Amino acid sequence: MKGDHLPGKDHVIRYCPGSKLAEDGTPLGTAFYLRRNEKYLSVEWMEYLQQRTKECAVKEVESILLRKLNVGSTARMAVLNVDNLCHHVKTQTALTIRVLHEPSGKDPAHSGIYDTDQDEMIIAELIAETVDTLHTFS
Amino acid sequence: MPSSTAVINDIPLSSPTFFDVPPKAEKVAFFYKDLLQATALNFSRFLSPGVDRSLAETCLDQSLSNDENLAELTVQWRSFAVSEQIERIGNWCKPTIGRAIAERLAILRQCLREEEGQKKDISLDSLRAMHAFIEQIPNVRLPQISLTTEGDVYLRWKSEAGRLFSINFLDDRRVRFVIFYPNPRHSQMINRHSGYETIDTVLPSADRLCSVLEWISG
Repeated sequence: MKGDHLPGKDHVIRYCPGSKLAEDGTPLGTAFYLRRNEKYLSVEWMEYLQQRTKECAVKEVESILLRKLNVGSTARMAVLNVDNLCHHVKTQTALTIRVLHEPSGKDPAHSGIYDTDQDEMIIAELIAETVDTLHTFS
Repeated sequence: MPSSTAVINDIPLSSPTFFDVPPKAEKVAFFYKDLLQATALNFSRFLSPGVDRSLAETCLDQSLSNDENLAELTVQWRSFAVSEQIERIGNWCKPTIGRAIAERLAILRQCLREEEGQKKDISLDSLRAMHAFIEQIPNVRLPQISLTTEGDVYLRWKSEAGRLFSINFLDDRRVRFVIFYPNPRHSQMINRHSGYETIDTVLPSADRLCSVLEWISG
């Protein structure tokens, strides 16, 4: 339901455009900056999609992102564990961030990382440190 | 204290610097402001009482088309100025670093256009600020570079020992930055600082915190 906290063991995928990646393809802090007037960082909730494997869930998210966005040729998808990212920010800064469900009609797995604007640059760098795996678009 | 730090910190606070001089961007902005004011003045003339209605409409159409041309010219001018600035960085006095930064910026510019539309470009003010900033660092190490959605330039230096310095150039003067470095008394603890400053003061401030110049210089 909208506004629900995502379970800590679950994962989210953040779309990382090519202009926000390092030369080796890893996301830099800018991949986790808010756009102007954005209230939260948009992510996709992997487990919500109820796929058999993680790979299938990534594929499903890929097709959602391709429908929604103008995906660049060098873009990547970064997988993040909810507990890891919240815990890392909490222990390193004493700040609390939240990952909440933000479903929309065409994208029921859509979710948001809230409260990164408390200290955006530090929190963005810390989130970038917690990226689990990276996936290219096929 | 390293000599590079001494040079920067020895600048008397009252002496004029590059940053006190109105940048080229401001002069160009004045030029465009004049053009826009002239267009607005034309509008008010057309809408005055006693002016033939059909003539006024034709003139307004003409003026609107001039506005579209002006917008298009602005985009073209900005694109040219960004290319010129990237080229200037490439021809910088430290050619290896200059060329590497310029090549990376050209790739990122392509990515930005691919993602945000062909009219989107790197912020010229941010690019100029980045150039002015990096010129202050003797023997600078090649940073990781990326762009924000707004087209602002972001640089990051990261070393193995939990050290990180990243800087986001917001316009031709203002920056945000973040520094991570090991706590000198408790090695397992990482100190984390963020701030908002001008390009001429951020380096001395960062250097006072954790001798940042030592590890972003090669």
